[in-house]
Amino acid sequence: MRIKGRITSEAGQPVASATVALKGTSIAATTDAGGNFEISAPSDGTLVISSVGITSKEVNINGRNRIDISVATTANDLEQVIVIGYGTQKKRDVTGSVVSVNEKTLKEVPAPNVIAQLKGRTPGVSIISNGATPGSGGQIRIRGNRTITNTQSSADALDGPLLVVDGIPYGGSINDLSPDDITGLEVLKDASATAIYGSRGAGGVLLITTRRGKAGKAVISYDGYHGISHIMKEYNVMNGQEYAQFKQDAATYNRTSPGTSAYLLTQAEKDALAAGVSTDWQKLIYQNGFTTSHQLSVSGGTEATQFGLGAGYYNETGIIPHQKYERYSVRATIDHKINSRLKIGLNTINTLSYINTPGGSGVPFSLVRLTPLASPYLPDGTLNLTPAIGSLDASIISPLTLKTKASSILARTRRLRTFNSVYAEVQIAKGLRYRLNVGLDYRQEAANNYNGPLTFTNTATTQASSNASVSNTEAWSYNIQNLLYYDKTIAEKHKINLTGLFEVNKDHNQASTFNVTGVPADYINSSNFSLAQGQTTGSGTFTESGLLSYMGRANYTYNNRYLLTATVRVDGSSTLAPGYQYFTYPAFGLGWNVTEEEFMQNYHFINNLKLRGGWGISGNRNVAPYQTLGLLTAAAYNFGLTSGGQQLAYTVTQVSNPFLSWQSTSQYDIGLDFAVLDNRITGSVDVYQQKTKDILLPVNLPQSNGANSTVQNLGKTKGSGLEISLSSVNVRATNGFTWSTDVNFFFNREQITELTTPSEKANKSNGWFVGEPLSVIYDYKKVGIWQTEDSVKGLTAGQTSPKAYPGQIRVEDLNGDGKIDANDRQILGNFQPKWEGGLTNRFAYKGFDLSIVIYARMGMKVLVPYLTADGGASGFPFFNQGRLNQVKVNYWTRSNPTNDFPAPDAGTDRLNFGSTLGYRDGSFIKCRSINLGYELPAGVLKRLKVNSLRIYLNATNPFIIYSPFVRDGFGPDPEGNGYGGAVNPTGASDASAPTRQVSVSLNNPAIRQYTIGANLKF
Amino acid sequence: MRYMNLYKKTGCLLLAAVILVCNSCKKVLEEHPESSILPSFLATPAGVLGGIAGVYNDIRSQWGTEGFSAEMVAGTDEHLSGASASGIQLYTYNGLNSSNFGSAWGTAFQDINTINGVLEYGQAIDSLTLAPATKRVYMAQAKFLRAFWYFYLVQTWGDVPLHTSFISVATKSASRTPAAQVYDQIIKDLNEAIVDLPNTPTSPFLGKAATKPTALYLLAKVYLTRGWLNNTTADFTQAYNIASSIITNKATYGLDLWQDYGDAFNPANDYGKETMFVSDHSIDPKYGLYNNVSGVTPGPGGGASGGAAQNLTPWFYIWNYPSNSGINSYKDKTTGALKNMGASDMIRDAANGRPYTRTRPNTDVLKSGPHTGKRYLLDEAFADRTNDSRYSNTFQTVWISNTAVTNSATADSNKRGISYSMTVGVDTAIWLPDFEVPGAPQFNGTTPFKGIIIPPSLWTNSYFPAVKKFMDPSRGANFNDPSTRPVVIYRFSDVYMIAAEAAFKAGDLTNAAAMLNVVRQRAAYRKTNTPAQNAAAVAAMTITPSDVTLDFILDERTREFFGEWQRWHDLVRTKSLVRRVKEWNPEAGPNIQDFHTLRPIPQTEIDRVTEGPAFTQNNGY
Repeated sequence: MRIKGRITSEAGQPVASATVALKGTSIAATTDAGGNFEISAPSDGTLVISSVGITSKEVNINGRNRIDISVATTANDLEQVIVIGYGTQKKRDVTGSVVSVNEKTLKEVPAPNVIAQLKGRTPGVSIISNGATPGSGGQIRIRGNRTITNTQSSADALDGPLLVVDGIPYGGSINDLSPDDITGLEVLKDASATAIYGSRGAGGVLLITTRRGKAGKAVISYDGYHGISHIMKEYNVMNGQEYAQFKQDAATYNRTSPGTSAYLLTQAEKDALAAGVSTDWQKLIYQNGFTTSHQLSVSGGTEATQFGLGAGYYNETGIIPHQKYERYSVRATIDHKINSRLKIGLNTINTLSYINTPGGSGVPFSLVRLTPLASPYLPDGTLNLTPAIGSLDASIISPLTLKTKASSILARTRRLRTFNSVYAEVQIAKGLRYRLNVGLDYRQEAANNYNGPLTFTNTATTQASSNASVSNTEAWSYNIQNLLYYDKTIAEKHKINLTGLFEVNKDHNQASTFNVTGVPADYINSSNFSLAQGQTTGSGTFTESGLLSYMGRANYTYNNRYLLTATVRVDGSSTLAPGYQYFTYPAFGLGWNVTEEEFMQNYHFINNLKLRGGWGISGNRNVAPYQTLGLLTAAAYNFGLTSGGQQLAYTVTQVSNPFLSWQSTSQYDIGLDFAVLDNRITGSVDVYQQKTKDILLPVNLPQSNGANSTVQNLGKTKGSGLEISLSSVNVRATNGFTWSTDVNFFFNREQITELTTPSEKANKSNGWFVGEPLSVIYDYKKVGIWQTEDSVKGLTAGQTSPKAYPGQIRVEDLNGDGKIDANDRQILGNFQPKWEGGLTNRFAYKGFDLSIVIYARMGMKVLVPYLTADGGASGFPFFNQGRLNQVKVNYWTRSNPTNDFPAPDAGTDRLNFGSTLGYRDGSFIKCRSINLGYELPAGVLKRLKVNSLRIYLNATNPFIIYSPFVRDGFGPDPEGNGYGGAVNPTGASDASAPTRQVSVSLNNPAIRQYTIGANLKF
Repeated sequence: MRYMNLYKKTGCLLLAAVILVCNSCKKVLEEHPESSILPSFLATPAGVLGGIAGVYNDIRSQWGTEGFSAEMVAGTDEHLSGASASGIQLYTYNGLNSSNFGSAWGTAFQDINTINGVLEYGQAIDSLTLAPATKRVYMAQAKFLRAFWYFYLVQTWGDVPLHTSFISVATKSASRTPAAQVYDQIIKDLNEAIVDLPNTPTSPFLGKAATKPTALYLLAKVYLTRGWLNNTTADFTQAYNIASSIITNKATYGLDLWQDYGDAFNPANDYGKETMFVSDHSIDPKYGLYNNVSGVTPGPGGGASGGAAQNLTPWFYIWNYPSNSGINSYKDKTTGALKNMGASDMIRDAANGRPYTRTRPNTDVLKSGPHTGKRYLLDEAFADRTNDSRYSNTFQTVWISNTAVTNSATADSNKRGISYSMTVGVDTAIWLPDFEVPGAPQFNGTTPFKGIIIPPSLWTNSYFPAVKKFMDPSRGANFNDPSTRPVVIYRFSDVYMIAAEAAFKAGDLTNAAAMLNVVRQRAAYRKTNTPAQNAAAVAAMTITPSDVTLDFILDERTREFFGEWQRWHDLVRTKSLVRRVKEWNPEAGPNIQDFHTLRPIPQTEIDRVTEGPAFTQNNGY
């Protein structure tokens, strides 16, 4: 007979993916997301319900054809099998600091990739967006930063986590992995857990598990959603009148030639002002974006063979016209037991994605700058192509060409990726297994760009100045793991697991780019360079690196009470200097399941108590290949005008580095896992300290020695922190209403403990200081604006260099010598949050469920380049000069003696100490998502002939709860949307703006998204 | 049985895989870069030649670029800041410090290390691989270039680190070598270079790369400079003798003055007889680094703004003629300043250049000091604009209408009371006379002027005569692109000027006057004059020994070399910087102090020396 039913937890939540088996047979079914199952069984049979996180339960059928079963969740999910490095382990036996995040939690936030879903959900994992442009990723750090560096790319390479998908290291874009294919992930945080990844483990490890087939009837499931997104807010710019006044003020307060300005209103602008024109360019460009996601999958199989197939489509259009990200994915897994000894399997994940970003991420930068005193359209209704005509910036082409001349602008990247893992496992003898994992990853990226003349992206006026480029990147890597496992239990109390590994990893990356100018017609785009007028120029890169590793691990458990893990790994890397290529990473972990002790049996309110601790060394070898070899920079020169004088040219820019070796991080962690009050409150607390030494430090060299910088193993840092996570079932009413809460709270304190030499306490040119966080703001301290009365009182005269005048930025003269110079710089703050946290509240009643995710980062600074100016490409080149429009700020005039922003000055494109204006409080508390779902009742489902159907409404980034940055009107979102761009602190021309930080730039503003979606199974 | 078989087969396959992997183990840890060039390449002939070309390419990244050009001329008696000046500290000395000066410091030392590598590796190449004669020329080029950079360094910063061997492993210590030793090394390098450099440019160093007379010129100037530094007559005599020898052998070297001063700046003559040493540019996107802005395809039409290795020279001295020249501009009664009004007759084009408005000639009327009431440009340097052709050959004062404008009698502020149309290519849109014109800007006297007249009383940092010597009309429609003319670093007339200054300092006023007269008499020539007029001008320009004073020589250098990357070093060499700036420059005069005769060592250099003794800053900074 057919039996249908539903499995729910004690809290009334559906239990998905549980196995419902007929006892004594191989007949089995799996529950869907709604906890529903359907199985054929004799009426006198017994069903066995099992799953991770629940206590197995047997139920006699007794002739019923509808059986709803409530199961008990296991004590703190102790029986849950979780993924650890190179294997799995019961949660009960884990000694390291490992956090599991399940599929359901991830799905509470619809997002293009798993990193975005993870934001604010796990303690110790800090994720910052780096933009709202479709297809942009995010910056992720586990337990803070360890590496002293100033560039974003090296900070990501050195401090970012290792991603492992189904056991195989995963490089490249996380966007290549559809989040719908992910069933869960584990975060390995402390060194006793990550040391097993040796030289790649110091930044933490994210172990991602993708969906595989399960024995039972084939289940077809569909997940889909559609959403609309719009900007959270426009940048607050000056309107026409304010702009006109601002230009006038810039002339009035021109310090070099008072009363004059090279940037006064043009005749056209004066006319527009008189006519009351005030154009809001942002409004004309920003549009609603749409997100669509469809995922269809089938899985099932027999005891011997399981399969899983899936296909997905994701499409996200941006808030800038014609920007979009599109992804097609196809996935297949097969697991087959050839016989009782041999098992093989394959997992192949394939994605094809297109990213189109005409105008790029920085379109708002241009929208903000453009004069509001120009009509977007001419009287005859056609586009006003050159709205700034007559001014110094007359060559600006209307941003509306992004809409009207879309076919003349191409900025497309196409990525193709196939990520495959194959395994074979042989049972050699009882307890002894050999497993071969082979990972084959191939990715190819082709970019095509074209900028036709008289467009927003190419202001040139002639077709001969059109430009096109194509680039091709090919990357592959292979990973071969030979693993030997031995499991043995002696006298029922001594459980021993041994693991041995030999691993080879090789990465290859090759890229070429070609450019041409003078494409004869826009429709050709980048399709045929031979048609172009100009010569094709090109460039290429090639890198290869290899890693050779050996690892051994022993797990020992005594009577489920005392746990010991010991690992040792040896890694050899090609990127380091010969003689320094190998390094050993030891680690051990101890655990004590206190609740297993006799003396705990009386404390019934404590369901679980586990104390664990560990120590280990993990490392980082992410030096770019060939750093040890030295380098000539190539250029070319023409002696005279004839071809006979053309020579290739070289200069020595990097000297060889024969001693480059390993960076390593040692870390200890003490943690406590607990569950009390009938498992209604569960949680973990971890404290840790980590020390990093021999940091791969780009050392700036005195330029008089010929080379600008080199990488050396120098410097030490340390970090320590606290992580707390708590889950509680607050209400579990008899009418079915439940309310549960997940809270996490964590902070990390990082600091530099040594620079290049023990005696070096500060490296001012890079802004590195012993005892301070890894990147700090080192600059003059703005104390206000020089006021007219200061000048009257003679205070301004006290500053002899540079001479100060009312309306200019006043900074603190630290040493009181009357001169503001490099000696007056001081540490003004850093980018390390005082604390971070997340709060998820879930409510369920009858078929309804509601989740609300809130997260916070508090007490750190952000860099806001557009509130500064340095006259160069960084910052807002003409901030407060009056040349262009800008973000509206409260600036000084004689009638407005503010201390916020200085008087505009048409005489300079770099205000004295202008960089001090760009450091702002970046604290925020935000609502990340609100998700309201409704699970259709069984009766309806039956009529629809589906197993389960949940429909939901979701709001992502619905509102900001607290942000001083937004409150003060400086921008729509304090969280950041790009890297770098900050101007160097005034007075230090060296690269000391901490560009490793995500900064708030005039890039595409943050978006708010509303979606409606369905999860369907049949 | 069937299963066992499969089991064995699979086992064998797995074993094979393991063995295969092990064989490639060692190879996994080897590095084989394919897309970069390593320092060992300097040990090949192509590497040696490439290293020399690399240094020339770096010289191109300074001379002609914006920041460096300003460093070489700003803050002197000749130049004031334009309305869009960047790096205002350079012009005023107010706030000039170790953090906003010294773009060439790193480049210079990178080049010196490259040269040291070239010399070390190159010297070791065997004679079969590199012919000895060729090698000698290569080594001579390298030595010239090392002297070239050290001379720049020692003039700019005084004591600087002296390196004569290749640094192949990073070090974090550095110290300054006394200038005297640096001068000794420069003189040694130049003397060695002179032996092997050819008389005229020879392949592969074509165009106007270093030759024997270039090295001799530099040597003469080095002696002259060291002579001033130590007040040694022997050095002045050396300088005079070397300069004289170049003049004597000018035919051998293919060098001479053009008859017309203006011809020296005719683009057709860029590689002509008067040009001694240049940094090259060309339209070729690869070798000419035509448009080296990251993210922009190299090639014409990039509309480049800034960027390495670009010759932007033509633009610095151009005021914003397309925007600030409204046809009905008038003199504001209250402020006395020119008020921009109406449409302009001018649009930006290649002939008139891209207006950067960075730097302007010093035309301000002095309100105090010994020259009260005077303008440096008109009343001192170019006081004689009748006989001396150099004012009209240096400055653009007339802009011919290049866009049709029709002015209505009733247009706002049209005081002429008439309606009329401008004729493109015929009518004068803007005229900056070097004398006062009554009725300006809309009338010449009482006659209505179709365009506008901006006499000296209306000159400001937004209105000033533009410098036309460097203009590049070949830009065509791509008038926003950088110039492809070479930047002329040494010009033959300076040989006479060096000789004159050396003779003056050696007490030989007769020869000093003789040398100056060569330059002055040439400057008297105008193609448009009759022979009789030219002869009269020559007579008027000729000076006597008693006319020769230091200030006269310095004024003469302004007339001859205005804007040619020399002024700051000229004033420092002649110990006249502080005095002349205080006398003539109203922007910088109030701020300049004695210590400003040396530039601040870049703060990065000081901060980065973390081993050994600290790197010292120049006094005053």
